[in-house]
Amino acid sequence: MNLRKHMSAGAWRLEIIDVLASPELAEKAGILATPTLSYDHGPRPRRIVGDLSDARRVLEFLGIKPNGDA
Amino acid sequence: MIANDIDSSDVLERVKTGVNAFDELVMGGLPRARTTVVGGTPGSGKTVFATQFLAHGITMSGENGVLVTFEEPPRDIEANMRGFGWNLASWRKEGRLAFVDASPPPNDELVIGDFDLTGLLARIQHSVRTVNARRVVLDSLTQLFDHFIADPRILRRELFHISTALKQSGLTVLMTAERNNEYGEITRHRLEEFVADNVVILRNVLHREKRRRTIEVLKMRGSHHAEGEAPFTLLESQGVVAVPLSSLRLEQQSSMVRVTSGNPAIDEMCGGGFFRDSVTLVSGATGTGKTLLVTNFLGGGVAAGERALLFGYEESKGQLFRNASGWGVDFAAMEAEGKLKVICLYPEAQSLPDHLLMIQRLVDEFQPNRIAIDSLSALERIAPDTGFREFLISLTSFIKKREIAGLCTATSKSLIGGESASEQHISTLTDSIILLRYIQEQETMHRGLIVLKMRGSEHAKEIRRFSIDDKGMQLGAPFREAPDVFTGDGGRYT
Repeated sequence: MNLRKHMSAGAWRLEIIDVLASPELAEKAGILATPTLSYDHGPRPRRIVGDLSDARRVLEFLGIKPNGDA
Repeated sequence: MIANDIDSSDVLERVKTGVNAFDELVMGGLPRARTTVVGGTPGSGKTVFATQFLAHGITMSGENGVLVTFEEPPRDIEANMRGFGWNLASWRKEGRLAFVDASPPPNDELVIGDFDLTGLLARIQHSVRTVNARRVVLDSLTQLFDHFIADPRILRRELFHISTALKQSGLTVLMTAERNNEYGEITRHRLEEFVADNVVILRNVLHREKRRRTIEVLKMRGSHHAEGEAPFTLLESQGVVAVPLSSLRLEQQSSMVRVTSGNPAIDEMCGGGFFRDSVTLVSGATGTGKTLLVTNFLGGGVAAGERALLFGYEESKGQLFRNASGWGVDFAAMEAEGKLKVICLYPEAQSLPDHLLMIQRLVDEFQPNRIAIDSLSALERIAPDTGFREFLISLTSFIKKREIAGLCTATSKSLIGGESASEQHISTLTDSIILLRYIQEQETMHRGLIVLKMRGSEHAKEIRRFSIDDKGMQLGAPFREAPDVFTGDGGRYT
């Protein structure tokens, strides 16, 4: 996964949920669109919907400094 | 093969919405396994209509439902709908209703590039399976568009996909969408074009300082529907109540049973009394004796063992009772016996559709044999032109359908004759017309009565002189040289 490369190992846990297999989890999390990256860290959770291939832009929005600086 | 063609195209199974008059407009209900878009401006009643569709399924048809809410959280909807008598929370606990809460999450969200709504569809399908739903409501699509503002094309594609997937599961789908204007673009974002088999519009128009709510079926793919706007109202404990109008067919049975007008001389002039299931109009200037005729009509009915209902829009109950006793009719005793019910209220107290529904409700409750309305002119005061005509059509056909005798009064503006605009409206819709006129003879002013029209019966053609005393109306001899009672010049007698 492209994102993983930019984030220091061990500091983050990335859980992938298949909404078709577990719709009740999607319900609980309030997911409408796929793919959605939900970042449940800190007081204000953030979400990114759609194209996650631009890792820099994704991390910037989530407020994570790339490559182990976080 | 031919049989198959007929099956698929001709017979659409109907799903009742719970708004009876609306179901009549669309030939029995919304087609099953189709998508209907309900468009309307904010406050036009979309959520109420949509919830009623689910409520009716749950309580009356054994069809469970899923409510997908994009705007308010489920808890708010449950609270808001309680006033209409729908206990959404208990249905949810009983597993007959499921919510998909798609109200905006409180977190920051960024949308980049392409995406799909598989998450939403998976949640809806999950809820459908959980409660074994047959009906699904999405309320409202406009909030979904506002949420994913970036690219409406993606949303259209995705909504089309959701609509198709739900229909394939045999679900009847109702989606609401906002409109910017009452007349113009059907919905914001032109949702209806790609997602709807059927389009229904709810309107809430300000007309002459009055709110007028209407419902219109704009499109029904593959089937017929009644055209034009039908008025409706939002009632406590009932929700949307549409008023059946043009869809009414002239199917009332005409009986030949006669009932008394309450005055033997008038009965004679009418060829033996009014017909039981007919509506008679009494028209005349102020003070000519219209309310007296109403009083006789009610008193005569009760004396013959009937039950009578009066709606007064001009005078208070006290005044009406006092007038009646002045003419020898004891309303108070009739009421105490349970034979008479008198309702007095200002026309301005509610809208015209509400008046109509109130009349219908009280007729259902009280089960009268005759009903009087005094006066239509007072009601006309509060109505837009088209609204009044619709009201009259509904009222007269309702009265006839129930096979009760109706008497309505109308006040003509001129003292000595002439027809007002409202009378022209009314006269074509009533079966019989009695005119009361002031007529000048030499130096004296007299009152004259004429039976102008009596549908399906012979009637006296002469103008009868009458006087009013403590026994009520006394008919005298006809005028020998008849004045013209129509043009307004009629008072002149040379």
